[in-house]
Formats: sequence, structure tokens, C-alpha cells
Amino acid sequence: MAILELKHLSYDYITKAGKVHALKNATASFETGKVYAIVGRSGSGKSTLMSLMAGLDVPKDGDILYHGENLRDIDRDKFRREHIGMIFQSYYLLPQLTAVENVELSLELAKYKGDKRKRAEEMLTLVGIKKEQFKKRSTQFSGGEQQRIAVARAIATDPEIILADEPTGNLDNENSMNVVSILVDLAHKYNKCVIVITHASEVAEKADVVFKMDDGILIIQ
Amino acid sequence: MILKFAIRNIIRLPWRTLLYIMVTLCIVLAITASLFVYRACENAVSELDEQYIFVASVVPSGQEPILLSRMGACFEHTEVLAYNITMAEANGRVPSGRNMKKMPSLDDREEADVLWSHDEGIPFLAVENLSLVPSFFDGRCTIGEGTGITASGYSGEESEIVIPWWLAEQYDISIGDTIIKRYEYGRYTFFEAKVVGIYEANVHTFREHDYPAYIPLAIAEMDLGYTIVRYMHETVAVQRADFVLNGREAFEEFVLTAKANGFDFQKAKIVFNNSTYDSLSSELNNIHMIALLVCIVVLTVGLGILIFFTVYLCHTRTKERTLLISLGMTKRKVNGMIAFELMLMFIISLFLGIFGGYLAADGICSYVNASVLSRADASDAIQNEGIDRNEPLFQNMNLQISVSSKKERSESVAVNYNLKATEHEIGVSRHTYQFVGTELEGLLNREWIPIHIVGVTNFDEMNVSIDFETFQHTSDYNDFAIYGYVSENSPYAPKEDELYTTYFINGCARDAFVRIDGQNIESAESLSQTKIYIIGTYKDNDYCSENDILLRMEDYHRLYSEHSVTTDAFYFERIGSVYIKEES
Repeated sequence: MAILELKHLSYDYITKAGKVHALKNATASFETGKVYAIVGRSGSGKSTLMSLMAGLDVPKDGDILYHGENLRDIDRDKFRREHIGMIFQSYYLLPQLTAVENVELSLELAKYKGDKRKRAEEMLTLVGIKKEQFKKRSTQFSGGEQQRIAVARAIATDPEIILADEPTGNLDNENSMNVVSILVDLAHKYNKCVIVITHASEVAEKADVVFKMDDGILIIQ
Repeated sequence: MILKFAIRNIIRLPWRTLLYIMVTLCIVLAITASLFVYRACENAVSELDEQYIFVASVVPSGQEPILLSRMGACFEHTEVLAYNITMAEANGRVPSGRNMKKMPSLDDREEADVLWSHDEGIPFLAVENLSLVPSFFDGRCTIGEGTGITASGYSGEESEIVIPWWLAEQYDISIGDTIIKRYEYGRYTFFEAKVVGIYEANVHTFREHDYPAYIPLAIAEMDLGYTIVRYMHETVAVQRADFVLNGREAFEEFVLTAKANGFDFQKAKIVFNNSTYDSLSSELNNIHMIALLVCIVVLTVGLGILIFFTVYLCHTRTKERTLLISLGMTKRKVNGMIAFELMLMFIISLFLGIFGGYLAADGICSYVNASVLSRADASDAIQNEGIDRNEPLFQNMNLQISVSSKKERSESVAVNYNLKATEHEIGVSRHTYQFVGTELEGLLNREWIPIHIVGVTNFDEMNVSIDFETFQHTSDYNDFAIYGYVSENSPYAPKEDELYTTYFINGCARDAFVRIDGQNIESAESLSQTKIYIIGTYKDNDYCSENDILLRMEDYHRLYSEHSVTTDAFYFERIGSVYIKEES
């Protein structure tokens, strides 16, 4: 059953060059247990689509349904806290916090009721961060490690949907494969719906379903 | 949660926190310091205006004399704290003792509580220091109520009088009452004074009503003196006059009045000590303006810097904002967290800045006091070329600025009437007095008038201008006598069996003492001046020897004032002491 559905989404914004149609009647359906890759050239509307799916913005036309509920009608901040895990190209780890604190941050915001520290440590272990590195500041980690910490943060609240925006964009090949492997495991082993926006063909190859964005139009490949 | 995140950010990002706090702190510190200094200067300027004591000196600059009457008019309506006027040799008489009169206005009469005439009352004596009057010195009379007249206690603000207890009882006079004493001098004239002391006598060796009332010498001379001269059309010349004026208004008024009375620079030199005031005022105004300027500049520029820096800090946190929002934090909470952080840092800076500003202002004030105002504080002696500078009438004001509300200010005003006695001030030297007084005890037991020694002077250089005929026609001739003591080694010392000996004194130094007994007065060519009754002897001591005659201070003063005795070597000091001037 589809966990997330896009129905006839359209989105446009105004720039100095004029009106840009970032999304044109995009329709798609996402299920748990699968990895989805959205590929396309720069400026094709991928990030706009991700922003809409995360509830950071609302579409001009069309609807996004989460378990059949329209995102327009629900608390989107709560939706992100509880059901969405986001991963960014630049990791977005807070430099003033340690690795474990960065993971705890999402638990604190989601008002996690269990032992936050323990949960955070479990997630870090899951993505391959060693225990003795937990209390190191995030800036002291390598790029691949930072992205794995970001993944741990994204999955700490046990969301059903993982949105990853170019997660391997700043990583070398080996680290890219590591991260991709974790994402694939999340979908296949932990039954998450993983949606990855990427330029990398090797990442797209690992996906169960690949969408192509071309000039605001979403096409399933 | 916001609070927790904000505090964690402040602690975990020390450089950012420190930078923001330092920038804000510097701005607040500069504004606070300049405001404190501004306020301190403002207080000091206002205090300077209110309390600075000006001294004005007037001396004749040409041949034309300055009249005492005109001098008196200068401060008729001005608040004069004290004055010291030296009379010049005069054609007429200097007003003194018995001649002092005042023509009161109608208002004066109405304001008076008590009026008592000469016949009903007692003589009043002009003294500067009651403690030097024998009956007060030896404890027979004591001040019962009020302050009395002392060298340091006389305010000089108005005519004051100390009266005996019986007078107070008889007329129901209290401290603070105004009394008027009436004289008959062709027509009635009046003396008005405020009662500042009531004294009592422990031993009644006198007739009760012989206890005199006392007024300050300065009052007796000037407050009344100028009036009698004014009304009696007598001319008395002034050699020099110094006025201590309270405040700038009084000073300006005095200057105007002086000019209106013809004291321009052709006729008289008017020397003011306002340069100290001008210097202080100018320095303070400069610092005041600088403080204001710094405050305005820092406020304007600092506010701009602070706004820019705050906006910049917010911009640098875009990624953090994006992350927190993507993690489900509402925009409102994210903004709240950042605002709370800034507010917390601002409050810390504010407290530290105000405290630091206070300390900085304190330091600035100390620096200003030590470097700028200390220069201005330097004693501003009156620039009076050609004037006898052996008696400097100076004014020194030590003004300081301070950030505390407590006004730190010390002021020393030295004017002649309140100089403290030194060992060289004859008439003040207690041990001399005591010594001589003990030796003369026998005379007191003979029931002679117990005149004690309160003044010693050297008559060697005395030069008086009155002739005998004039003297005989003075009003004092039969009524008043001057009593004195001579050294037991003096050739004019009375014999043991003589009750007293009377001498005349003339202007020829020690030979001037002429024994009158058995001589024909009319045949003595040198007879002139006044009569001195030698009533006893004293032993030579540090302060007086065989050429000296000891006189009561009031007698000496009367002798001086009535006969206009003024020479370089023999002069009168307002504190009631007689100086022996050192040989130059």
C-alpha cells in the first residue's frame, strides 16, 4: 500500500528571469520497503519535490497524501518530527554538538519518550560509528562518517520515510557505497520508504524504482 | 527546550559568544562611562556656580582716595561673606566704637524685636574673639546659649552680638532675635544686630549692668562705619579692601555695583580671583562637552555596529535554521531560540558594560582630577602688584569630579578674620598672657579695675598725627581712659607706692612716654596723642620687653582707629591681634 502519494503536483516560483515552473503535474506513489531514486539534471525540480514531500512547503496545485491524509490538513512540523527522516548533501551536523548529541537532537525535538542517549548510541552503532567516537564533536569526523551520523539522526525517531537529498554528493566512491548500502538496508531490512535524490548513476542502480525529473515533469523509468 | 538550546549554544560556541559580548560590552561601556563623566561634570559645574567663593580686592590706583562711604555702598545689596578694609591716613576720623551709628530704614525698625537705648543698656564692645576677653578667658563668664563670637565661629554674614544674661532676661531676648541699640549723636542713630550668644557670669565682681555686649570688630567698623561717614559727610580714605563674595551672582553684582560707584580702573584697581573660576569652569565645560560628544558618537555608531553584527550572526546560522526546521522545529521556536540567545548575551554585556563603565568613569574622573583640575586648583593669589603682599588674602578651591552622587569637595578659604592664632600673634599667646596675668594678681587684689592683658604692641615706631588740642577736644578725653602696663625694667615703670601713673604718649618712640605726675602738661611740647594710665608692670618675655606697653585689645583698637594710626611697621589685623612686624 502506498505510504506517500503525489497527485498532480504543480509548483512554480518567481525569479528575476521570470516565472519558473518547477513541477508540472507530477504524480507518483511511494511504498515502504523500497528504495526510490529521483534523478535528473540540475534545476529540473528534484529539490522542490523533496521540499514538498517533507512538508516544508505546500504545492500550488495537487496534493500529497500520507497514508491517505492530505499534508495540507495535518501539522506538517509534527509530520516531519515523527514520520520523516532527512539527509542532506552537506550533512547539516551542528558543530557545537557531539556525534551522539546531534542524533539526540532529533529525539529531543520529537519528544522521544525512551532513553534518548541509549537510542542515539544504538543508531550510531547501526551506521558503523565506533563507541569511542560518540562524544567527539561532529567537525572531528570525516565526510563519510559525518554523513553516517546524519543518517543515524534521520532514522533515530524511526520514521517511515527517509528523504535523502544527494546523500553521496560530497563523498568518495567507497563512502558513497557505504551510505547507499545503509539506505538500501533501511528499506529492505527495516521496511522504510527511502527516497533518494541523486545525480549518481551507481546510486540509482541500487534503487528499486527510478524516477526521472525533466523540466518539472516526473517520469517513472 | 528553547532555553536549553540557547544556553547550550552560548556555552558551546564560546568565540561567537565572546565576540558578541565584547562588541556589545564595549559600546555599553563607552556610553555608560561618558554618561557618568557627563553627570559628574554637570554636578561639578553646578556646584562651582553655587559655591565658589570669589575674592575681590580694591586699591586706589591714583592720587584720588577711595572713600569708605562709597566702598560700603558696594556691598550694601551684595552677599559679602567677609571683608577686610585697611583705612588710609585720613583727614577726618575713622568711625569707631562710640561713634558707630547706623541710620535704620523704616523696615529695620519694624523688624526689630527689641530696642534699647544707650542709657538703659550697657556699652557694647567690638571684639573678634570672646575667648580673648579676660572674663571669658579665666572662666568668670561663659556662653550660656548660642555660639558666641569666636575667631573661627563668626560667620560674617550679618551683624551679630553676644549679650549678657541679665539683658536677655530683662528684655526677653532669645538667640536669633534682632536687637537695636540706640545712640544719641546729634540725632538718634541705631545699631542693629542679631543675637548669636547669651553669656553668664559666675562671679559678680562688677556691677551687674557693667557687663558689656560684644559685637564682631568687622561689623563695628564697616557695617556701621560707612553709614556714619555717609550721613555725617566725613571723608575716610581706604587703603585697601578685600571682599569675600559668595557665589557667582554675588560676584557679578559686586562688580556692577563697584563700577556704578566709580571704581573703575582709573580710580581704583579692582582685582578679582575669578581666574580660578574661569579656569575650572572652562576645563569642566570642555570635559563635559567631550563626554557628551563621545556618548552621542558611540550611541550612533555603536548602535549601527550592533545591528549589523546581530544581523550578520543571524545570517551565519541559516544552515542551523534549515536543519532545525527540517527536524520538525517550528520557525517560531527557531527564531525564539536565536532571539533568546542574543538577549541573554546582550543582558550579560549590559551588566558588565555598566559596571565597567562605572569603573572606567571613576578612572577618568581620577585622571581629570589629577591632571586637569589640579592645575586649575592651584592657589590663585590675587595679582596685586604694588599692594602690600605681606598680608595675602587668597582663595583656594579644590574641586573634584566624581561619579558617585557624593560630592567630594574641599575648600579652604583663608581670610584675615579667621586666621588661626600663632605664637607670634601677640594677644593670642596664652602662656604669655597667663604669665603676665599671674604677676599682676596683686593689683587685682587692690580692687583696681581688673584689666587683663590681651594685646601687646611695640610703640617705638608709632607715628600719630593728632595734636594735643585736638585730643583734648575728642569726646573720649574725659570719658575714656586707656590703661596699660609697662615692663618692670622700663624707666617709666610706676613706683611701688603709686597706685597708678599716667603718661602721655607722643610720636617719638620710647621717649614719648612722659610721666605726667608733677609736670605741667601745657609746658610739655611733646604732649600729644592720648593718655595712657600705667597701672602695673610685667616681666620681660618673648613677646614684650621694656619698650612695650600692654594694652587691652579694645583700647588698642580704639587708639588705632580714632587716631588713624597706620604705618608700615604698625598695623592692624582683623583677627583682633596685633602683629609685631618683622624687620625687612
